[in-house]
Amino acid sequence: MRTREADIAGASGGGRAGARLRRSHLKLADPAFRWLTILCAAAVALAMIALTGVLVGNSWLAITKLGLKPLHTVAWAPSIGSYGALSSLFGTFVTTLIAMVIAVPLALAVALLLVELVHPVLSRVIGTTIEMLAAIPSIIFGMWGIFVVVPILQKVEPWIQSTPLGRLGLFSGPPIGIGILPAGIILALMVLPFITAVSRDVLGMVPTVVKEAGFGMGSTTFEVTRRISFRYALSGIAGAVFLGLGRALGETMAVAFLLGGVFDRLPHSLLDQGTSISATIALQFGEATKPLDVSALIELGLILFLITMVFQLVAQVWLARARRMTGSRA
Amino acid sequence: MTETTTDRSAAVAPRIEVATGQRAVEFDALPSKLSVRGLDFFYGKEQALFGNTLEIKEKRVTAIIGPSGCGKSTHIRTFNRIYELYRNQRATGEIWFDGRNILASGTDLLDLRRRIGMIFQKPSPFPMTVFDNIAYGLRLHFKLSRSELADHVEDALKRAALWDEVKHKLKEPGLALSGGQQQRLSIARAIAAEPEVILMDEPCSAIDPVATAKIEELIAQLSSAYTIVIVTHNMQQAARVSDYTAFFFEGRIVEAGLTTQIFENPQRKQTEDYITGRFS
Ligand SMILES: Nc1ncnc2c1ncn2[C@@H]1O[C@H](COP(=O)(O)OP(=O)(O)O)[C@@H](O)[C@H]1O
Ligand SMILES: [Mg+2]
Repeated sequence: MRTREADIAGASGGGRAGARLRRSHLKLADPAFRWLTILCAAAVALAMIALTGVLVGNSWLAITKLGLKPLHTVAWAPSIGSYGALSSLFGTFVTTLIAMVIAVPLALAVALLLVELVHPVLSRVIGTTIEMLAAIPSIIFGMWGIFVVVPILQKVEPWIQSTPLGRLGLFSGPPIGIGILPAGIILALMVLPFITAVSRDVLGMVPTVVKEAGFGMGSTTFEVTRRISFRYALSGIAGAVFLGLGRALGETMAVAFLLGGVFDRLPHSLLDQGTSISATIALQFGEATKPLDVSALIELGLILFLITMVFQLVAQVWLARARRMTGSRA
Repeated sequence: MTETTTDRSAAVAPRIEVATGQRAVEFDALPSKLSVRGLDFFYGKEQALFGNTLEIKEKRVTAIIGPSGCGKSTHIRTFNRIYELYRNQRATGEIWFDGRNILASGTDLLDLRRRIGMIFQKPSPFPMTVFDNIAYGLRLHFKLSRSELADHVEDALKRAALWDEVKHKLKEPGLALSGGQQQRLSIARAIAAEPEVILMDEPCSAIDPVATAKIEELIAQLSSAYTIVIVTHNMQQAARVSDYTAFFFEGRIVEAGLTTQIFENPQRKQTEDYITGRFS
């Protein structure tokens, strides 16, 4: 097989002259590459600013006309002039909360298992599988939710209602399988691989000598994990959780159909139907007729954008702290 | 195959002074804290120690010297069975500690590791405050009230000659201390658990000369109360701090005995070559 160098030399006529030409050409390669990198970074920043600008610009009509009203109005019902964001915000936060309550402990348990207990070969196999899960398009999760999770919940929900849990009010209402709970569950599955993978990485960054020192003090595996490894990885895990949170907040689109599309009131229970910011945008855009309707929907998008940016920022800060803490440059 | 440190010491080797003559009682007469009999060690199929036998004397400092890769760390890592954290590592033979063979099954590893503390080459503070670092072993192994805990922490820091430097920093992270302080923090942390033996694996190789001097001084102080085993590739250090020395070569103990004897009158040619830096 011919090497790249041979190709280049050959293309420029071969021999020494070709080689010299190639070197002088390479002298420019480094600065050129640096400028290209800077340009790309600037382009990303510019795109962010432009995106914010477009969102603000297009929602300006709603911002000026409605003021703060959407933020303290529940119902989204443009036909009667009600542009409430609360039903959407509520759905977004509750489904995300359910997702995190399910996913975080599970992800941490799996990550710890992978790092501390499972045989390295098995750990790598499971780790790769989990990383592949993270790459599945979210709409697939959504479909899977409708065709698998909903039918299961239709059987499980009546059973939950018959247990003492059913009396809590959290599980009241007709058990039709569509609503806040399945959306939360699917979101949990979507962010689980994500949080697991990052947590596994930060737990893996705990220096061997520190763990050995822990065992050397007469600690059990559990004690070393809980008191030393976990603390070492804590800021990184916090970063992972916030990354997952940001993702769950934005990814509600995949569960738009699972939520049931109830826009004009807050859900009464976990089994009730509702909406989320992205679900409202997706399902209401086609019906938005007046300019104000469209503008208000875009304002919803702006709100979601700002919220996820904040969580991204928090995540980055915590992850940076984790790297400083472990002295790792990973 | 010798390390650079060994080469450097060649020039000064004749001037090595052995300071512990006054404590050098007859080697055989003293009670042993640890007796190693026919110790073999395996990394997978690779054998790293070959039938080693060694006496570690009570409340004395034993230095383990030898070229890099000769099995010094491997050897002391059998004393607290820390090697068992890794699946493919295995030790056979006997290590007697207070009338029991610790390599036998049924050894309480958690208590063994409390009674035999270990200091590593790299300072290894836990990711918590100075106070919590020292309190770690105390909380693990003893039931203490808050004030007792504070007393024990202070006591351990004093015995590790660190109290004056950190008494106003107890709430700061252990990782914020200097390298030398971190290493003494590790010693204090081990001391707090009330061990009988302290193992040190090249404790000074990652810190500066001033900090090293402090640790050597500390070792001298601690040896009245604890049995200390120190691995070092610095022969002057071995000569300065130890009562007894064992010279390792390629997984075997070539010679062990009084430090004075090993350094001034080695019996084996290999030992002499290593001590004088004439090593090939
Ligand atoms: N984790 C390990 N896996 C395989 N072989 C090892 C491992 N650690 C050490 N060894 C081998 O065992 C021998 C002794 O190593 P070690 O005890 O670390 O030497 P020393 O501490 O004297 O420098 C060396 O040949 C080394 O290559
Ligand atoms: Mg070593």
